[in-house]
This record gives sequence, C-alpha cells and structure tokens, in this order.
Amino acid sequence: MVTIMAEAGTLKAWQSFVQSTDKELEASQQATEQQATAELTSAIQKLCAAGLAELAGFHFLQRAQDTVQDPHIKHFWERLIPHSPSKAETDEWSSTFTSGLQELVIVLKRHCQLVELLSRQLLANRAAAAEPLPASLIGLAANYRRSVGAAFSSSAPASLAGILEQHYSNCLKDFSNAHRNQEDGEGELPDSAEEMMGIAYVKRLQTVTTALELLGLEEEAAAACMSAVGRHVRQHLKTTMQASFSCSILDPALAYVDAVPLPFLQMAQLNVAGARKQVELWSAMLGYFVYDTVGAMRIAQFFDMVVDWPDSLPALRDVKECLAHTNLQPHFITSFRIATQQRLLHAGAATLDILTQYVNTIKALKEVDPRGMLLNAVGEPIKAYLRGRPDTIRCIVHSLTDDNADDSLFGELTQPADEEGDGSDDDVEDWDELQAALQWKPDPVEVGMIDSKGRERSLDIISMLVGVYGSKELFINEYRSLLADKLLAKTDYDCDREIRTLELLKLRFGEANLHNCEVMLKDVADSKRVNGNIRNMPRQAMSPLRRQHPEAPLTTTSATIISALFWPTLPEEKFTVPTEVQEQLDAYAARFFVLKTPRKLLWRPDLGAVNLTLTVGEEALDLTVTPVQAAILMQFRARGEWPAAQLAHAVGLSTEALRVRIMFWINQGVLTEARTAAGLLYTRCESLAAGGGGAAAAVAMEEDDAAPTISSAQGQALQEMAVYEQFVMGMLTNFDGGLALDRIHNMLKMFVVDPPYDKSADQLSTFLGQLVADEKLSCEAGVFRKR
Amino acid sequence: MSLMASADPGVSAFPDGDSLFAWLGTIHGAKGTVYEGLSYKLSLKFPTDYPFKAPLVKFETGCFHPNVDQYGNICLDILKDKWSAAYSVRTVLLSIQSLLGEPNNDSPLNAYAAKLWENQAEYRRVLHKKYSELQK
Repeated sequence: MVTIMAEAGTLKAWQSFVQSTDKELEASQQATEQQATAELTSAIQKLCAAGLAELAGFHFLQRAQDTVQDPHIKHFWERLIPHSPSKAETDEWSSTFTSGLQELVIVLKRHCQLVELLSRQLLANRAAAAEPLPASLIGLAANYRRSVGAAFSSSAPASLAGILEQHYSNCLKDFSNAHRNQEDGEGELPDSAEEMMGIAYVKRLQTVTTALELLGLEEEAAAACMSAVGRHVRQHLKTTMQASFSCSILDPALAYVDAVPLPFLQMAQLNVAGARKQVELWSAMLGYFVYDTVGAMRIAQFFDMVVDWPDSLPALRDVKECLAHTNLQPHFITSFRIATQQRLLHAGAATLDILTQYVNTIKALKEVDPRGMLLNAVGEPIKAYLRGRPDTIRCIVHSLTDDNADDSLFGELTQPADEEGDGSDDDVEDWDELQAALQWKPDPVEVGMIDSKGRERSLDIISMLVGVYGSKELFINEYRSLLADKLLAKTDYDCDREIRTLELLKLRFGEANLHNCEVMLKDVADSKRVNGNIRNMPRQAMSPLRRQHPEAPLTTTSATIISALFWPTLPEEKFTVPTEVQEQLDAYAARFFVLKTPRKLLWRPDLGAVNLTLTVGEEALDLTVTPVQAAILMQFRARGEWPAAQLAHAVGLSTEALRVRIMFWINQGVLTEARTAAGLLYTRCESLAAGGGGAAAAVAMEEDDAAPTISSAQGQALQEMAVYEQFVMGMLTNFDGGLALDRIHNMLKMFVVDPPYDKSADQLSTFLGQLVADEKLSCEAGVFRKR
Repeated sequence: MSLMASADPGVSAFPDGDSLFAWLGTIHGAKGTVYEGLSYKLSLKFPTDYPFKAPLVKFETGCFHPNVDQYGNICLDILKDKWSAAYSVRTVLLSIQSLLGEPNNDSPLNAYAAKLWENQAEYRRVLHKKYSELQK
C-alpha cells in the first residue's frame, strides 16, 4: 500500500514536472520565471526523492531540444530562405541573419538557464542523499548546447559553412568599403576599427559570434570567418594588381592585410580581450597567405616579367620576397618551365629572340635568386633547346661582337668577368672567401630535381652563353670563322673595332685560345704595310732577269696576305682569272717574292673583291663585286654574245655555278639571258634595262654572299671526325653483325688515344650519318654495318 | 699492342667487345693466290704475359689449307717456337695472309690439302666449293 501511495505521489509529481517543463520552455516571457521556476523546482525535488532524477533530466533535455528545434530554429531558417542566394548579397539578408540569430540566442540563453537550474537541483538532491552521481547527468548544459548546435547546422537549408562564410564576407566587404572611403577621404584614419565602423557594426558581428559560440559552433564560425577573409584578400589582390610590373604589390598587400582583415578578425572573433597570441597567429597566417597568393600570381606572370626586364624589377623583388617566405620554388620552376616551353622554345621563335630572352632570364633570376639555383633549374631546357639550333653559335657570336645592334650583347663583353679574381691582394680575397664560407647555406632541397653536378654557378652572362655548348672551343672557332669573313670583306685594312673586340674576348677566354685570331688581325695589319712597300718598290730592286719583262701596272691591285695555318679553312672555288688580271697578280707576286724571300704568294682570287666602273650605253655604274662575277663580265669585253657552255668553259666554272653568278648581271640589266636550241645564250645589253641599276647592287652582292664563304664550325667538326673514319671502318670490318652507335662510341673512347677521341655521341652520330650518305656504311635499326 | 686501324690491304683486326685480350681479325686472300677474293675471320686471344708469349690465333671461318686443321688451328712457326715480342698483331696477320699463298707442305695439318696443292686448278675448285659451303 505504501508503495502504491508513493507511486501515486510520484506520478503526480511527474505530471507536474512535465507540465511545468513545457510551460517553461515555451514561455518567452521572463515575467513568469520566478513562479514557474518554483513550481519546477518542487516537482524536481519530488522526482528526485522517487529516484527518478535521471529520467527527469533526460525528459527535460529532450523537451528543450524539441522546442528549440521545432518553432525556433525552423522559424529562423524559414525567415532566411526568402532571401535566397540570388539576393544573398544584400544587406537585408545579413540583417535578417543577425536578428534571427539574436532571437535564437535569447531563447537559447533561457533554456540554458533552465538546464543549469535543473542540473543544480539534481546535483543538490544527490548530494543530500549522499549518492554517487550517475555519469549521464554530468555536464547537462554542455550536452544540451552540443545537440542544439547539431540540430541547428543539420537543419540549415544549405551548408552551414557556406552560409556563415557568406555572412562574414558581407560584413568584411562593408568594412573594407568603409576603410577605402576613409583612406580616400581627407580625414585622418580613426584610431581603431571599432571607432570607424561604429558600435552597431561591432555589436552585430559579435552577436553572431556569441550565438555560434552558444551553439557550440565556434570552430565552424572561425573556419568560415577565415575562409571569408581569405577569399576577400584574394579578391582584393586580384583587383588591385595591375598588369604592369613597374611597382611592387607585395608591400601594399601586406599593409592592407594589417589594416582591414586583421582588425576584422579581431572584431568578429575576439570576444575575449587580451588574446594577443591569437592576434599574432592571425597576423602570421594572413602574412603567409599574402605571400602565397601574391607569389602564385606573380609566378604565373613571370615569363612576361622576364620579357619586360629591366622595367619589371619591382615585380621581380616581389617574387623574391614571396619565394623567401613560402615554399613555392618547385611551383615556380615547373610553371616557368612550362611557360618557356610553350611561348619560347618552338620553331616559330627566332634564335636571337630566344637568346635575348635567355639573357633576360639570367638577369631576372639573378635578381630573384642570387645563388643561381633556380636558374640552373629553369635555364636547362632553354640551353638544351639552344644547343639543338644550328645557328645559335652564330647568333651568340654576332650579337657579342656587334656593338651597333640595339639588343647586342656587346655591352656584356665590356663588363669584366666576375669569376676571375687576379689575386692581386691575397688578404682581401681570403677575407671575402671567409665571408662567403660564413654565409654558406645548403642548397634548397626543392631544386633537387636538377642534377647537382653543375657546381660552378657563375652568373656571368657571357660564360652562361658560352656554356650553352659546354665548351669554349666551339665558340672560339665560330668567332674565328666570323672574323675571317669580316676581315676578308675589308678592303681598307682598317680593323680597329675587331682589335678591340678581340682584346675584350681575350680577357674572357685567355690569350692562348685566341692566338689564331690575333695572328689573323696581325696578318691584316702586315698586309697593309707589305702592300704599301710593294707598290713603292723601285724597279731596280727586281732581279735583272725580271727587269727585262714589261711589268703590268700595280696601282689597281692590293692584297690581303694571310697565314694559311692560322686561318680557318676557306672553301675554294676554282675559276679562270682573266689574263690581264692574272698578269697584275703575277707582277704583284713577283715583287712580294723579292721583298719577302723565300716566301711566295699563293693567290686565292675567289676570296677577293673587285671595284669596277662599268659603262653601259651612256650610263656608268660603280660596283663592288666578287671576282667571279667580274671575271664573267670581262669575257663580254671581247664578245657581245656567249653561249652558256662556252662561257662556262672560258671562266672555268660549271654551267650551274655560272648561271648562279651571272644572275647578278642579268638583275643589273647589264646582260640578258635567252633560250636557244643550243642552250642558254647570254648577250650584252647596249643600254641599261629599266629597273636595273645601282640601287640593287648592294643587295645583289649580299645575295651572292649568302652562299657561305667560310665553312662553318659544323663543317669543320665533320672534318675533324674524318680522322676516325679508318678506326670505324676497321672496327666494322671485323664485326659482320654490325655495331650500334654507343658501342662504336665506347670503342673509340677506349682505343683511340692519339689523337684522343673527345667527341660526343651526337657528333659521332652525325659523322656516321655522313658515312651512310656516302654509301660507305649502311644503317639498319640503329646498327651500322659496312657495305 | 699496336692498334690495327691502318689501311693495310687485306688484314684488319679489332678488339672484340670491351676486353683488350680478345680480338677479332679479318684476312682477305692475297692477290695472285688461289685465296684471292675470299675473306676469313680469325680470333686472337692474348695471354696475360703478351707480348712475351704468342697470341692464340685460330680461324673462325673454316679454312681449307694444308697448315690449318679442321678446327681452325694454325701451324705457323712464329705462333709457336719462333715467337718474338717484336711481332705485332699486324705482322702476325700479314704472316698468316702470306701463309695462305705459300703453304708449308712439309708439315701439313691437312694432308689432303697438301696433296692437292700440286694441282692448283683442282685446289682452287675444292677450295671454293668448301668456302661457299661454309658461307651457307
């Protein structure tokens, strides 16, 4: 009976508890609180006495959650939905969001109070009964908050993070706009961000943060806030970054980050005053973010920056700073490599442009990374590509030695090489070395993708350019060919400029390497003297036998006397020199023999130049032509008409070669070509044909020169390889199965010691290809065989 | 070891692979002999104490010759007891080349060939038959 009585009492207490709970939770009026609370308290006490504390706790929590969820949270989202994403930007959305949250907070706060109350009651009762507390009743309030938070986020119409981010970026935009207005305005900047935006704005921000904290969503809020800030900063950088590279964007960006997003974060997130650590952390994060973003943007434009060098210097400094603060180096390397590959290293780019860009790259990267690691990484593809171009060396040499062109590298040549210390002052040098040693830093690992063998990292442009080919011999040889071309083309023996260039080159490459070139220049200088002597030589100096012969006049002949040993091999074109010219040459040679016994002159008439005055009809033409052209024309002095075959025979040329040469005169309008049954017939014109004339002369002369007068370095290389032909043939005689290229290469390397075999596999491949073309070898599937 | 890169008519040799102790040689029959127009491959193996010991020279292509046995071994005095350190690969190959045209029929390794040598026309016929058989 007692038990039943007790149960009846308990039941009653439960009912009253349930009722008061519902009333409490739904009540929004604070007025009834006092009374209701009392009612609830007594109900709880009774239930506790009946040992139903746990049950009461759960029930209360459940009810509280349901109430919050059903009318309040639902209502909140429903109010927000009409302001759908399309209008999400508007202020209305933001204010709805804020005020809704505010209301929610009031409800929540009250519920929390109640939960606190309940838990206090339960605890008190337990303590009175001296019973241990069941684990499920500890931390009721936290439990409650957590579950409401979960309910809140799960019932959101879109992803909660997105909504929060939206909210924060709206607020941040307001702030940023206000900041900009302030900056643009005349007035001084207010001391703090709070002052600038007004208290309402700050409050609004903080309401949201508080509400989310209450919901146990502070982490989500912080993440959303950060991502909003990130997006905003990126947006800001994008809009403020100009296409021009003439000013740095890094410093303004860093200043901006300190001025806007940082205070914003402080306002939005920092309810607890004095969390300096958090501010520092944010500041560091934002700084890094700026470096990273600016770095990525600048790196994407790096190719253009290199093109704009040196105007892009501020932008390059940005890159340098960014690379120092982030680990973007690998990204930089791949990105720049790809850009170069796509925009520069293709068949459409002129070699000179590639060279210029390469030089600019070197200079730009010197600015960005003085240690040259990046250059090593990105320069390699360019170098490899340049190596594959046939005219690279020519371009380098041309632009190095030509100080007239705008983009020439002559200026580089005049700068001293920084790698060669003369060791004039040992102490100072030691000191420098010590300094360098103290400042040594290991190479960054990111750059490990390139072989670390390229140890010498001299950033000297000339040595970089010459280094494209790995050795300076090739470069020097090409320079020699070029110099030979230039000197031979000279008629006035004036080579001051060449001497200057040579002296500069000597500083670079050492005296010994350029010895040949020096001799060449000396030849020209000597020629001038010898030439003068020969002309002024009295006839009495000749041997008596010679004096008896009449001598052809020498006034029109002058010679450049070259020492064949020191000059590059000059291609020879045989033709018959007209008799009267030959007489002059012989006379000259005879005098030379007197002057320089026992030396004799060997004429190379094909390399000379002829100044002639031509009278056609009434007009006179002053021309400088090649000796072959002159020889052809001289044949027309005696005869007005020549069949092609006869003329070819007379000048000692093949008909094809004759046709090429005679085109010059036909273009000049001096000769005409006609087709007859017997072949081509050339006729002298009695007056200049229209359209011909002096204007075309210079062009024609150049055209003729287009057939290279000096065998290029490539041809020479092939000649050098010819030494090894016998070795290769001997080798292949004994291997019927044939040998692959690398096998031949290895064998030559092993066995050929005098002269040592120092060619690359590529050179060998070219050479073997030549042999195959000459039908000495056959090549099937990479295996060479003797025919 | 003087390297055989010279343009000597009819003989040449080259190291076989990366070892300097094994060479491959080629001999073309000397002009005016029955061996004219035929070419033979030889292998040369050098002992470690070369040039104080003679290299081991063998015909790799079967050679019908009084002084060469069916395995390609050569009976030549300078490769046996008359060896001198002054000989080089080139001289050895030239000796073998001349041996082809002037066999020493007194100490034959191939008695049939030695007997047949007297009749040059018949010898030529047999030789060419054997040679073309080998080429197949």
